[in-house]
Amino acid sequence: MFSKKKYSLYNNIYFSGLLLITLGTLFVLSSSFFYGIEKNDPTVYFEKHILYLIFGLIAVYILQKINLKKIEEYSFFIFILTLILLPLPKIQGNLRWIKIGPFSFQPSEFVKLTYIIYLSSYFKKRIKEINNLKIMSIPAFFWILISCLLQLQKDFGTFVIITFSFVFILYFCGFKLKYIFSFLGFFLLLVCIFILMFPYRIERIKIYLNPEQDTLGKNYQTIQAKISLSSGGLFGKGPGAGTGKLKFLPEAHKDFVYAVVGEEFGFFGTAGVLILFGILIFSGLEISKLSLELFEKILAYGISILFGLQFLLHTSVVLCLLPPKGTTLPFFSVGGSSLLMNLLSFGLLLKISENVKNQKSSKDIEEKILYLK
Amino acid sequence: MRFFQKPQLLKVKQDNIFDFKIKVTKILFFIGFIIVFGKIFTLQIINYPKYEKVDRKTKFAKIIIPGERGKILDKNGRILAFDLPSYSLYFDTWMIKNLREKNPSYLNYLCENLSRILKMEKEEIEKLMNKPYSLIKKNLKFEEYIEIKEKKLKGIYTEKSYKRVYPYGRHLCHIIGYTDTDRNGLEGVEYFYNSFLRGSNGIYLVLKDGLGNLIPSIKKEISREKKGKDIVLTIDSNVQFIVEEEIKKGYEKFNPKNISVIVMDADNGEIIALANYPNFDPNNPGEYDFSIIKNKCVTDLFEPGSIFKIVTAASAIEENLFRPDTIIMCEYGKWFVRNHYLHDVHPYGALTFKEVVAKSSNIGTVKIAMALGEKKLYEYCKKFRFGEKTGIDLPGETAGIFRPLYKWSSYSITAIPIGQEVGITAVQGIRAISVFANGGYLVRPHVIKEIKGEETYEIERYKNEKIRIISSKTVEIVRDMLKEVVSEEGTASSAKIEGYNIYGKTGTAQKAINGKYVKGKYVSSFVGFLLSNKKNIAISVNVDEPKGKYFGGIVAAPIFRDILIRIINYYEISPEKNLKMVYKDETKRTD
Repeated sequence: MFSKKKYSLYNNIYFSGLLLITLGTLFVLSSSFFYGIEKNDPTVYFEKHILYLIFGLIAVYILQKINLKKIEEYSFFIFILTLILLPLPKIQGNLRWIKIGPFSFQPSEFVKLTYIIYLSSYFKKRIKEINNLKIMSIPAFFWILISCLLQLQKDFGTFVIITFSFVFILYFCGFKLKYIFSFLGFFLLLVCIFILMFPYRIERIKIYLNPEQDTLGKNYQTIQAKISLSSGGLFGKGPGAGTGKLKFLPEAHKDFVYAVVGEEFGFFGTAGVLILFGILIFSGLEISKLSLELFEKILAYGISILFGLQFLLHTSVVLCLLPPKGTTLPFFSVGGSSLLMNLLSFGLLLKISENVKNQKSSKDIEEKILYLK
Repeated sequence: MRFFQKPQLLKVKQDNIFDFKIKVTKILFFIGFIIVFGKIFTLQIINYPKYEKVDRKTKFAKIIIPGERGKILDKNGRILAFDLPSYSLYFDTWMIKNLREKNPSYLNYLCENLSRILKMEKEEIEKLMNKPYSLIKKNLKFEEYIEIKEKKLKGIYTEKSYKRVYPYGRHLCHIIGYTDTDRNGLEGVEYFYNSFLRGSNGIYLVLKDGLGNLIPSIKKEISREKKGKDIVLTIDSNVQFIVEEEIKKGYEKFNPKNISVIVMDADNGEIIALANYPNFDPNNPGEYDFSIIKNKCVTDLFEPGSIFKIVTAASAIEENLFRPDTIIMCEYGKWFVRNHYLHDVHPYGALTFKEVVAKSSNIGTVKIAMALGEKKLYEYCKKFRFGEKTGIDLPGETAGIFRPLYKWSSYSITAIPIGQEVGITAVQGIRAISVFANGGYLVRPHVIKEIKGEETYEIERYKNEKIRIISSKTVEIVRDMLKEVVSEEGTASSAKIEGYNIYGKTGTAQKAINGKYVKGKYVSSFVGFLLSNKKNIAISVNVDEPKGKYFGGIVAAPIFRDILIRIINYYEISPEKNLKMVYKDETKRTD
């Protein structure tokens, strides 16, 4: 019974992930076509996406072959490496991109994952002393550093995702709730400061609070997202037949791709994507529950949280539940770095579930107890 | 250290704590997923109709591509009206925006080329390019259009539209009519056969992008544009030219308000020529008063006067009341009847029936009519369909005035036989005279020979719509009388052409305004026909308010003659009795 469940969890993650990747690739083609025409090559985004997909799938394959212990070992270096890359776009004079030859790449996407890996390995070793504020000060320092660097890039979405991932992992590792709430208080203060730093964010919030005020101007994009998504109805207009992506939606191929899904595949499409993400995330959490290796336990939890937060934030923006901010939908949004990061996360989760599948049954638990040492 | 002492317990505790936290996390995420699910359900299922409507309205622009209107041709295939395509040049704002970012040097190249081809200042074109609307030039010249097409320039596009053109200008204006700026017919054949001529517009839904730019490559076809049907008239343009020239001459001679002439094939009702003068240019109808634009041959009534005496005479003969040589006392020009004095222009004593018609005696005609009786007279007039529309395929036809019997006064029997108290149109007049030309049939006047590509539309029915109303024996007798009119003794001796069988009747009616006859204002008319082995041609001439002379025989008959001579010449109709062809010299004489 037990092992069967573990087996089916692996399959759940494997197939839901593959389906999401396939569907996502389809929607990259559909949603970016019009943006590609502007660049005189309709499939330019799609071709790039395929290229990154191949790289990513190779990386997923490699991840299945290596021991996660290695990653645990080098987690700090990996994290520091991506952290160093984070201020580079500013130095290069771009907003969020580092350009190396024909490739451009977005370090903030990778920081999401490496920070979680780093946290997992860091807390694994110090799980007993987690409520010692001295111990806490190092990850907290990195969080502040990342937050400030992301503000330079005006990347509010990534900031929110990293913060909440951090909070969830803290909670998971047993950080006291009163500390967490005081941290959240600090976070809110910081958000207010960041919002006040950039006046356009105040505008967005004002519009979010009074959507009827300005239907054709600044609120235009949220209304358009509603129109696009809703006009799909039950079955949608058919693949590629959506019209919202023709510049009605701002950044349809990135921040509003869920609306394109809704328009072209209808309620079945949106609900289907929701269920697939649900399977992926809840299976991930279940894997975390079953895992006996603490590093993997925390990492599986963190990655599931990462997928969940990205999905919920993206859909909330598209569905006008939250004021608009740039968040991508994993596998569906155009962007090589985002795709690569999500594929790596998926690969890690898959590897962990494979480890769980191969885990010896509960009688061997006594040996594993040692991890608490 | 505590953990080490009780490992089993610790594991359970620790695991339970993780399990609980995962459960909490799951619940939190589940709530999030439920909210998202609820929102997509309300948006896509419940609010679908509302947003779908908004979507449809905002995403597509309706584009109408006009269909070409059919041509109007004369009997010989001469094009009298057609649609001239014209092209307007626009900037493709979407493309221009892209070019500006990616290839600014091309814009320079584009502007240089456009300024050269359109002969506009380069700065002016650049200024237009930066404006939000995109029109560069309307109505491109043909060579400009060709050159732009050949250059294959990017960032611009042309739009086709049509302009209705009447290449012969005033020629046939009253038959053809004209169209409005949307090329819908407003007068004449253009109006009457609008539904056939009009091409159907192509309607397309073109996708718009979020910035309002059209994406012409993504187009939904609602209906494709179609060319309208071509229409062939019964009009012979050459005869029409003759008529138009001659009435212009007549107009200069008598300076009337209007001259209307109809030439009709008496056998089948085909109108060969129809003209009014003054006329208008259908290319610029806006510059003319409606009184000039309307086709007076079908819209305007006149009192037929003596012309109507033919009907009275024919009825009497049909009823066997008189023979042509019956003597009728014409009371020396003044006769008191029904409390009125009736006058003749020239006093006559005793005249034969034939002479009464030839000399157009009012008193004689009224005596004939009184012998016939009111009821019979009314019946015969009704057979000629006075007071009814002829059904000619031209717009604005009026029925005319012919009162029903119960509305006749006691005086009517002395007025109607001589064409008073009656109002007819020129078309009704020519139809009535045609009865005697074709042997007793009432024909249906029409101007359309064929609608091309519309085989089911039976123009033939017009030709075959013939009703016998008078016996051929009566027709022979009346023809004899009408020939007398054109003889030396008759009122229309000036209409005579030596060697040809010409028949006719003059009419001179005082104009009535507000029910009272006005002195000095007359309608002089002449209806007549030529019988030949080639064609039986009926012609009606109406001269409204001629200055100076006003007798039909003096004003209208010469116009009839001048037109007929040239028609004989045109159709090469040979004279009877082997007389030599005098008409060539006649033509010279009239010039």
